[in-house]
Order: sequence, then C-alpha cells, then structure tokens
Amino acid sequence: MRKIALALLFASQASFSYADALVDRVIDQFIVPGYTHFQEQAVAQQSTLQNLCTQPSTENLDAARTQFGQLVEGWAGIEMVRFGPVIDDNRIDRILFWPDRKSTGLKQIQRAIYNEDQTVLALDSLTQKSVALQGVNALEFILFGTNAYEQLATEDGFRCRYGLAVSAAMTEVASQLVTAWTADQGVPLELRHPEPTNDHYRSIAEAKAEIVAVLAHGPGIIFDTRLKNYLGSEQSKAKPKAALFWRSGLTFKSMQANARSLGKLATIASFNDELHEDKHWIADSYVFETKNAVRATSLDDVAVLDAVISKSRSKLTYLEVVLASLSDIAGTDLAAALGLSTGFSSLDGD
Amino acid sequence: MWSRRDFLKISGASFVSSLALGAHQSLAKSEQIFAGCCKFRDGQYGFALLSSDGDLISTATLPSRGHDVVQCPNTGKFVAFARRPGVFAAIFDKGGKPLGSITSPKDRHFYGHGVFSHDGRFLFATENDFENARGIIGIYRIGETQTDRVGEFFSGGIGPHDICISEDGTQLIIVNGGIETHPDYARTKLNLASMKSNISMVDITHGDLKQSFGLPAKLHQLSLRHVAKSKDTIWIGSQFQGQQDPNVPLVAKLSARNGLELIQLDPELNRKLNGYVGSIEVSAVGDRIALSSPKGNHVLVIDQDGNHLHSHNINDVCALAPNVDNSFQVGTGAGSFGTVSQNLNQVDGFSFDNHMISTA
Repeated sequence: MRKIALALLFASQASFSYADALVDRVIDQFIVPGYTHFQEQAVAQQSTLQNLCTQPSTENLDAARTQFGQLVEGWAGIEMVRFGPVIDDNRIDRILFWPDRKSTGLKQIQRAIYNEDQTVLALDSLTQKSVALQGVNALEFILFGTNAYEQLATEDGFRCRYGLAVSAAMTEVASQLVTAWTADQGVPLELRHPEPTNDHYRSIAEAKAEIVAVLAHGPGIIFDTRLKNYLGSEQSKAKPKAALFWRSGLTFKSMQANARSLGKLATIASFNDELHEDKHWIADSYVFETKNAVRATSLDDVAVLDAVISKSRSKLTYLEVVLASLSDIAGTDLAAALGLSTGFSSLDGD
Repeated sequence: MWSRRDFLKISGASFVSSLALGAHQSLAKSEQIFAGCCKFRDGQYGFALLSSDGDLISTATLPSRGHDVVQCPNTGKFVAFARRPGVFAAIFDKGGKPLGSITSPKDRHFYGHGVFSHDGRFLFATENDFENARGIIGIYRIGETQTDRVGEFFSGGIGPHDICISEDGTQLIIVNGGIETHPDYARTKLNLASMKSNISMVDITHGDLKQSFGLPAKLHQLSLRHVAKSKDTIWIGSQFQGQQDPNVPLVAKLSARNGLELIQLDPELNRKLNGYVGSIEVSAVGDRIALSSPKGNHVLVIDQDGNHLHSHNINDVCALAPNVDNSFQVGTGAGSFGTVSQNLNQVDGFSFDNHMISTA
C-alpha cells in the first residue's frame, strides 16, 4: 500500500477562519465522545464479568461475550487517534497489544492462566506487568480461548477474576483518556490553541495536520496491522489465524468500526466549510470511500478463518484497494487543498 | 573529504567526456559533488550526483525508495541502500553509472545504512533478522564483477540503523534503534512499550561485542538512530517514540573518555526538532554539528560542547552533508538544495531523501 505522510508544513496561504472551529468540533464531537463511549463499554464489561464470576452460567457468559463485542467496537471507533494522551504510558498498547508477532503476548496470557499467576488479579500489580496481559487481546482469550467455557463455569474462578482485573484495567485507562481530553491543559489545550511556545502544536496548520494525519494514516494502519498478513499476497499465502479477534469472530466488525470512525471523523471535521466549492469532492470522496470500506467488511455470514480462502476473499482484496485510496485522498488531495503539504522526508522512523 | 580535483582524477577522462554539456559545466564550476537518494518528478525513486548549486551531474533510477549512500574509499563506487524494509543495495561507479545491486538474503532486509572498511575491501550493512527480531551487520565484498556476502555479525541489539567505523578502523559502531519491525506488518513498530536502544561497538574482524551503551529506563522510548564522527567523538541523533517532550535529549555524544553523554539542548531549541532528528553531520573542520528535523522543519547547528550556534527554519529538511566552507549542505523533500545559511536553490521535480554525502 502506498504510504502517505504528512509533514506539519504550512505550504501555502489558505483561509483558516474555520480552523479553530474544526479542531473544536473534532475534539468535542469525535474524540471525547469516542473515549467516553469506550469507557462506558469497559465499565459495562466489568459489570458482566462481575456477574459471571459470582454466578457462572451460560447466560452470563453469553452476556460477557456479547459485551466484549461492544467493547471491541467501542475501541475500534476511536483507536485511529494515535496522538495525545493515548501515546503516554503505553496506553495504546495496554488497551490493544497488536500485532502480536509470534504470539508473544498470547503465550504470556496462556501462562498466566495456566499458572494461576496471582499478580494478574490485582489492578496495581497487573498494570505493572507486560502490556500484553492487560488489554482486549487478553480478555478475548479469557472469554473465547481454549478451555474458556469450562474454566469460566467455576464460581469465582481464576480465569474469570483475571478477566475482571483486565476489564478494570481498561476502565482505568479509558477514564484517564477521558479525563486528559476534557482537561484544559496539555495536548487538548494546545490543539485548540496552538502557540509558537507550545510543546506540541505551534500553529493551527500543525493542529489541522494532526487531524488530517489520522485520516491519512488510519487506512494504512488497518491494512498493515489487520489485513496484510491475514490476507497474504495471494490465497495460498493467506494466514487465517493472523487475523485480529479471530477467536471471537470480531475481525470484520472491528475493521468495519475503524472504517466507519474515519468517515465519521471526516464528516465531523467538515472540511468543506473551509474549502472552495471545486474542492468539495475531496472530503466527499473520502466519506464515500469509507462507506465502501464498511461494505467490504460486511462479512457477517462468513467465518473469519474461511474468508481469506473462499470467494469472500475478493471483498477483502477490494478493501485493500479502498484503503489505499483513502490514504491517497487524505494524504495528498485533502492535505494539499488545506494548504498542508505532504512531507517526503518526514516519514516516521528513519 | 574528497576534492573536486580528486573526483576528476579518479573518475578519469572518459567519465568527464561522457557528461552532457550542462553537466560538464556544472562539474567544472562546483567545488564539491554530492550524492544522495531522491524521488523524481515522475514518481520514480533514484540516485543522483549534484553540484553544490544543485545542478544534476548524473541520475539513475532505483527499484524503490532509497535511504543513505556510502562511497568506497578505494574505488569511489557508491552504494545506495533501500529504505527499510527494502532488500536492495544498488551499486554505481564514481560517475553514477549503475553497476548492479546486492539483494539481502531472504530472511533479512536492509535498514538503509552501511559503511565501508577503511581499506575499502568490505561493506558492512545494517540488516534485520526479522524472524528472530535480531539486529545484524551483513558483510559484503564488492568485487569488479560480483558481490559476495561473506558473513554477518550480531549488531548488539534490535533495529540497527546507522553505522560507522572507529577512527583506528578496528570497531564497528552501531546504533541499535531498539524498534522491532517485521515485513509482515510493513513499517509498524511492534515493541514500543518495551523497546530499548543502545550504541554498540563490535570488533570488525571477529564480530565480538566489545561495549554497549544503553539509556536510562525513563528514556527507553528514545531511539538512537544516526551517527556522525568527528576525530574522537561519535555524535548521535535520536528520535523519541513517545509524546513530544522538549526535555527529552535528542542529541548524544560518545567518546572513549566520557562514554555516552546525553546533551540537553535548551527546551526552546529542542522544540524545533519536534522529537525527531532525521540526520546528523559533523562539519569539515570537525567543530560544528548539524542536526536536521524534517518533522520540525529546522536545522540546528551546535558546537562540540552542545552550545547552540545557529538554527534555520527549512521546510521538510533532512539530508545533510559537510561542505567546503565548514558549513553544511542541505536537501529537502520539496527539492530545495544548497548551503544551510544561504538562499537555497530549487531542483525542480526533485524530492531529496533523508541523507546525502559529500563526495568531493
């Protein structure tokens, strides 16, 4: 997939009369509600696990598993935001440690369950341990992994209490994110009020570039970390079990929520407010393409492990094309229309 | 550093006579020749030799995006490395004519940097043993007609990036950025929560790890990445993987006397780097160090004690090389090229990649 990077450049004189409003809209209508929704789902997950631990039953297990779907979709709806407080204290990895190459994290989770490692049961000690033990991947294995049904049938059993601790850890991180984004300081304040003396955002162009970067990089993140290895370059090279959330069957729901969130962000940002009419096609195309991505991930009737080696594969190869198009529209066309140039030399990490 | 006269002598009359008239004039006028990777107007990636004014002397295409260029001290051949996770290293003669390329073994990829041994017999390239998340230094012998991979060393860490050789030529000095990547996940950073960077010294003959300098735990997300060498000091430019913080030191120096020293620039200056040093170079005399940040759109020049001398606001600047007046040549992603403190020339249709070298 073609990589697009945004440098925080102010390449031309453009009108920024709506720029502050744009940033405010994104924070108030997308970021804060996104983290708040995730926090609510984490709290609800805690509640379902509490019920399951005290009263193990098929109904309570089903309720916990159903809520896990809500939790995953809640996170997928905001995880494309990869700046600000979510970067601090490894929060992004603590919520979702992925990719988990060579199943390093999975092995830690399995070991903790097998050994009934008591240090994963208390919030204080769990949050000091490997990030892989603390997030949705851990919870997925607890609820859907090998022996889940049997071990979760035990009242106040270890596996369930570990799940409860994980959901508490996620609630804590989610609460920190909501608190940080609603505080009148740090990244949110600087994003709303860029000043030359700020640590993070020194101009409104930088603030806007950060938001456009979510739209430009998000599709690449979906492809690189969720689709590429799972899909393989051809059917014979597909790796069905490389899919995120294959155990819970939430692979496509998660990607769909990612794509939907990108469309929602572009809609809320309302770039057309500050673009000439002849440039309106750009943001409109972006939103249109996110709808195509949502359609391409509508695979409810196909098992995750079968999709890449069946006729459904064509939908996922189409998704690859759509994701590349989304990166291109945001990273090249939208950035240029807004007076933000793409930065050839500023690609990350080299 | 090579002089223009050396370049002409080594290149030979045949090269000079084969140049287009414009290029010939550029070469005649230029005090120095610079080499670097770039992107052309048509979207293709390439390798170019330029005069100090930015006049093109030669260009050639690369299979995909390049990163750094090194030059053999004996033959004058250039090697342009693929940007990670690329697998080619393209070889050019001293006039920029393509001679062939090296492909990394199938279970390795290049990181974009390398260095020749002082005698020019061996090329050492930073590589990724991605299945085992292990940094590797691939050893190559570039002959007249073929190139052989003759061995490899452990780099002393994960994610080796830039590399240089000690003044006495006995040790490889490798900056292990600490970031695990795997081609299955493109350029995704797989271990940000646990990453650890270091600078390691490895015996150039046997590959023994002689010494390694790490960072304090609170700076575990600081990725040491690029090096530049003055006579007795190695300068290191770093990239911070956490949230931008002007108090994180992005420059360090390593010397036999003091070991690894982190240099805390004034926070106001550090902000200009935006958490990211893309390239670092030492001036021709050795008394000035330039740091470029394409993410901060600045070049900072400091002295050997870390004191700020001057800074320049240049959009998307990264490529740096020492030039003859003890200043620095810069190249940008937007095609600007020239001496850092002067008005830059525009090389139309060009995007200069992250690094370049001064060849004459």
